[in-house]
Amino acid sequence: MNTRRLSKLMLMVFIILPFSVSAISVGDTVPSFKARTIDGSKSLALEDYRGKVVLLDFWASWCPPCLKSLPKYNDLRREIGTTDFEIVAVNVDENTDDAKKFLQKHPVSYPVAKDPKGILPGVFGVKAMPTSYLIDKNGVVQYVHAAFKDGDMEKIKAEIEKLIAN
Amino acid sequence: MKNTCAVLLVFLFNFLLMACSSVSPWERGILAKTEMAWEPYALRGQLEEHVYFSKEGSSGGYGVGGGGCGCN
Repeated sequence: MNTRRLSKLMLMVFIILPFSVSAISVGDTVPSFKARTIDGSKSLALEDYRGKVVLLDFWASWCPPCLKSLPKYNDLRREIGTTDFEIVAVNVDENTDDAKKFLQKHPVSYPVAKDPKGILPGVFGVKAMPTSYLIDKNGVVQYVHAAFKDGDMEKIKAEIEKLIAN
Repeated sequence: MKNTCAVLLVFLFNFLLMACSSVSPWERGILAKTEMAWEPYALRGQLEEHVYFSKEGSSGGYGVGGGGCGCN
């Protein structure tokens, strides 16, 4: 290989490499992971909920739409029940105390894991905050919802009910 | 020798490219703080903008939307 081709190759590698990060999208099987709960008391694994439809929600205390989404998800969980459905939240605050304060004001009854280093959102390729991944009973992502606005709940609920019925 | 210098130059240039980094959506906690906004005081900002366009006879093209949290 001559030096000119080598130079071109090196340039391409350096430019393309940062953009070649894989992300989880519809149709992908979610990777198994374990994370500590927000209070650090126990370990939480997504695989524990295999057989249920799972809404995996990435959120942070500094994210204004999360202020809307968390109470609505909590209401949704109460409405649908946990026989065939569960919400697993992953908090990505760098300072977990901020998340704890947020949860004191806006408590939720579903499990919340902490990921202050942001490893999981990196693996999933989160593009906005909050982002929710709807995972079917076999662990396959069936729907991805980025951000959260008033009126989004109807669409999310319909997708959940569709997966539970399958 | 000339080619080797070219390769070295490209290599060094690539290191400069590596200095450019993007902030991921989940890393914007500090950017989302009030003090990081272009105008953290909305009321004062509106007043200043009003004074500005009254004096300059122009409006718009001023500021940016959002507080930098990258939520949407």
